[in-house]
Amino acid sequence: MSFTSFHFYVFLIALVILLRLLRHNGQKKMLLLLASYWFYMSWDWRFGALLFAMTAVNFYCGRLMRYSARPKIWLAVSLLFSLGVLGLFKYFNFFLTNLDAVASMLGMSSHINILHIILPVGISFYTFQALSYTIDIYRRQLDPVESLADFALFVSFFPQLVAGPIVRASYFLPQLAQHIPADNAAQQEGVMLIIRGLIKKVLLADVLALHLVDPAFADYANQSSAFLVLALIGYSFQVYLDFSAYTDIARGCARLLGYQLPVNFNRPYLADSISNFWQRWHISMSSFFRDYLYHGLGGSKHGNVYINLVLTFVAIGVWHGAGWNFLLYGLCHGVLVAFERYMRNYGWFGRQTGWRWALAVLRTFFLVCLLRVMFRAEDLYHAGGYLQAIWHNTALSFHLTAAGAVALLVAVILHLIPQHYIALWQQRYLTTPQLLQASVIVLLLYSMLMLGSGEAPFIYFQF
Amino acid sequence: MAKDSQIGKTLLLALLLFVLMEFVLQVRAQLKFGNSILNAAFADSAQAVSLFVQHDGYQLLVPNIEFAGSSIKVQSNQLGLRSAAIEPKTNGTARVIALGASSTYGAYAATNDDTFPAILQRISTGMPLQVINAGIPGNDIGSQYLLYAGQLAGLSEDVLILYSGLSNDIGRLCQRSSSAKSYALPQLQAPKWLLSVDLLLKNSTNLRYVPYKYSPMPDLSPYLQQYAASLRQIVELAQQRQVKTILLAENLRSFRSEQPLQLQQQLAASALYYTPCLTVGQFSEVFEQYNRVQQQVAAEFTGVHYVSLSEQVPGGSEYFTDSVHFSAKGEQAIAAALAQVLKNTQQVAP
Repeated sequence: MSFTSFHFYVFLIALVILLRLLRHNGQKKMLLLLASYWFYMSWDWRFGALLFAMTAVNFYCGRLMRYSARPKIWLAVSLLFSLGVLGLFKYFNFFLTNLDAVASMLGMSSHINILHIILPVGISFYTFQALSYTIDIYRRQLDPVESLADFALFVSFFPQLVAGPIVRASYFLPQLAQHIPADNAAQQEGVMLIIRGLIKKVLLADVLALHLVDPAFADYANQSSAFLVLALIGYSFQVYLDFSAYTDIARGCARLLGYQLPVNFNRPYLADSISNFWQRWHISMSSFFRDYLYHGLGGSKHGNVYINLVLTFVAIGVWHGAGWNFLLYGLCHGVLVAFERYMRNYGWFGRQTGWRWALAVLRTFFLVCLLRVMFRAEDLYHAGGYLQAIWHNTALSFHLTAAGAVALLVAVILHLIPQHYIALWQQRYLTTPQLLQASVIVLLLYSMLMLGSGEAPFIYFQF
Repeated sequence: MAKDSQIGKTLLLALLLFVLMEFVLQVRAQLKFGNSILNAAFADSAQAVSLFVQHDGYQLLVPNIEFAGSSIKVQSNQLGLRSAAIEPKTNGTARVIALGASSTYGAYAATNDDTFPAILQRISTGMPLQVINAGIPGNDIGSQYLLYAGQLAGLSEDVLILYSGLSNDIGRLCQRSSSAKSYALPQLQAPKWLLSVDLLLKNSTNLRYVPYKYSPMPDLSPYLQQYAASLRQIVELAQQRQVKTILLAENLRSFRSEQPLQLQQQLAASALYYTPCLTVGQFSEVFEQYNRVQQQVAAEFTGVHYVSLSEQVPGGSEYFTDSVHFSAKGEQAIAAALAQVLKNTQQVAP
């Protein structure tokens, strides 16, 4: 059930109305839990069992941890189960394929059969969300929740279930204690977030994909360097718009239902360093890795901070997908962040202002764009091929459609406009006559139909 | 939404605007074509809500009905064909069946009399003709065989003109086929009759079309084999009935490879809407491959004529209303050309 489908909005409106009709918080939570499972099972009803298993194991591990004399054992059970399930679905075939390749290289005959399993959507997101709960209990930063239903709703809450933001239990569980129905302002905020998300996804990200990025990556050998570089920039904006659109819609839906989800992006392409980029990009994931892995490895206090940084970023890369390209993507970011840290430690890399800041932003942006090749290409071979094509196909010509060019320009401008201006426009829009507001919504809907490319899935669904 | 919800009221107003726009479009369709969802409110029977009735493997018009609008008037005969009532065959009259899909039916022909089979009947070919229009939108070549074998037996036709109109066959090329079992829960879809969606999508194909996109040519072989098999079945059946057969080449379309690419893209908009996985160039190639199959099948039989009318019915918007459907001038041109073919090949002779 995609956020861009007709079905989803019928589902959401029905849910908002039903939620308003119910009086007791327990009934509301039960309705939301059922709706969340329905939402998840709409992709594949068998995934429901997996989600429930992940929920039940972590719930009981959390409780046993608090009352057991040896909580470490229950933490280990939680980690083994959660990461084991994630590993089986996401990484096992990658491991087998590489084992097979190594065996062949060594001249050994191998008869490894890969598992014919599909990757459940959003598994990386809800696994980490469930794990954050048990780790926080182990660290005594959180009390275990009494109700399995509450915990199940925290893990499965449908707006953020398949592509985040990754919500901490300490952030979300208190909201379940007492439901505060969305007031007028919350509803306005919710609807505006959904509209903003749809514009980003359908009118910008999907148009960039269709008119610029997909043609370049599908046939890079026959495209000019200029076009390939432009497509790489286009892809950077596409992936940002696509993912932040999902977050906006998720936050908007949650707002309409009377809940809050955290902000996940802060104009990442205005970062003046790679470290700063990761403070602005997919904030809920990078903070998860910072708090649970980087600090777990010793952070800057124990061990070698540079190695800790590199390992953390390799894990971030691999979290995105099972492939050498993702591993290398994480490694490159890790090395760059470690290098920046090293420079900062010696006072060679400080806060920039004026034109130096602008140059730092440009440098960071182009580095991020360049590394995105590994993120977008099918594998390392194609990533290398794409970069080689940029180097060799030195023609400057490119044939970009008007729709693609406008989408890229708008994406860049929207990224540069300060947030308070966008908030101001939003406020002005909400003070115009309702008929005008409604006409704008209908026009947007028609534009999405004309320019959209159907129900294109969100990029982060695959993770 | 709460009673005091401002944004709720705005959304409701947006929904009303959308419904209003849809209503206007439906009324327009009713007035122009006599066919819209409004029929559901006024039709006497559920069957009459739609122009078409689904049979086993093919469709026909609802028999003996009239759907009239300011632009198009459709009358069906007792069999459910857009043709005059079929009377017993008289001596000295040659009976011709024009079998096909929407192009033969006359998707944009104002009245039954403006379709090319009806015009052909009025043109002198040396012998009085009774031409039965057996073109039905949505029927692919397999459906056309089933229709020919099932409904048109016993009409004692002398000539069969087959213009299968490839759109329904080619449309399948871009449908995602998955042999894997789906475990997804059922999902609501927007109603197919929503004209505001349909019209917007059809008229904005060029906005979504990327001329330089890399689009691998689909594997045509299974489709071509299926097409050849159905085509052979039709020709064999005609031969059994001792009916002379004319196979019209599938090259009558608005966009032609000799036109400038930009013009081709404009003219191919509706074809690309139904078959978005093909580029304009690939479209022409697909048509060519189907034509080669037609030629091969025609060569396998004696007395089967493969006829190309691409010169008599040139491309462009003068002869076509959209990518593949004839304009009034196109209907006349193809009828005149067919009359000439009938004369030249002496398919009908006194």
